[in-house]
Amino acid sequence: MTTCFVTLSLGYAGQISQDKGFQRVYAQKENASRILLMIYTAKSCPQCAYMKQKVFRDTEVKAYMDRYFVVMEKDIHNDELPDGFGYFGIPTIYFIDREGKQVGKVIGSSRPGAFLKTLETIREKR
Amino acid sequence: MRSLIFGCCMATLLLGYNPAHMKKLLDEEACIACDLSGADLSKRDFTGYELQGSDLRGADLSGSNFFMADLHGADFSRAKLDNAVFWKADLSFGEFVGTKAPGANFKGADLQNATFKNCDMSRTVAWKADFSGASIERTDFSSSELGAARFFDTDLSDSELYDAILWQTEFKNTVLTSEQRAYAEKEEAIFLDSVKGEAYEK
Repeated sequence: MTTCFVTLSLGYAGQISQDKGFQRVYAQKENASRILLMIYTAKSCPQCAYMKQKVFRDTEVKAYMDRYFVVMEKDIHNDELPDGFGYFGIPTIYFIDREGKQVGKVIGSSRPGAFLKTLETIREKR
Repeated sequence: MRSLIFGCCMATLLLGYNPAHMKKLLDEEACIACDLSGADLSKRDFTGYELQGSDLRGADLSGSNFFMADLHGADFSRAKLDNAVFWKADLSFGEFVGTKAPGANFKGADLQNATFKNCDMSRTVAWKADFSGASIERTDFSSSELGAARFFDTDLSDSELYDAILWQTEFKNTVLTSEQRAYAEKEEAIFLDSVKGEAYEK
């Protein structure tokens, strides 16, 4: 019974609004109008590393992201993942507004140019 | 009854596949060395299915999911694999002659010693796929994602790599044109040979 209780406790992550990273991001005034980009990664995922090291650091992408987005990374093996934000493969990227509402989702990787267009579309759609 | 038998025979002749093999596949989730040539296997879930050595020539597998399936030695010649998922599937020693696989997902797939000839692999997602020892001729990998994939002991010199992601892609004893080599270096591919430069030129 105890084991079951512990397992259930560890498996519970809670709503995105209860996530400490989410709360930390939106506690800062400068992030009030920014969109949260939550990326699910793992150490053994080169596709995730490509997105972080090449795409997010691309000059144009970085400039756009610094202005309109704020990044939060979740390691699928070590971090608790918020309820309602599941994944099939990684990287999975969720775009979330300050109310905790999902405004976009991207699965997999892409070239910097294509990713920038995705960011622009998500921002314009919002 | 006679017309039914005639219809079945005609279907077999036209589609090519063995209906008994198709039934076995769907009932048992396994059909080893089966004749499924020309079969419509599109938009289905074949996760973990066993199809080693099966004849899938001219079959339509588009949009289907073969996650972790065992397709070792299967023949996909002239088959349609558009947007199919072969994530972590065993496709080693497979035949891909005239195969159309644009947009298919081969992430982490084992493609060692497979044969690719006049194959459309454009826009495929093949991160961490292993193509080592594969025979590759006139195959189109344009705009595909080949990051961290492995191409040991292969010849890519007459294949198309235009706009392919080659970040951390591993090359060893790989034949590349000087143009391909320069592109791969720009993409930050990993060259594991001790000899650089001309060794890759053809």
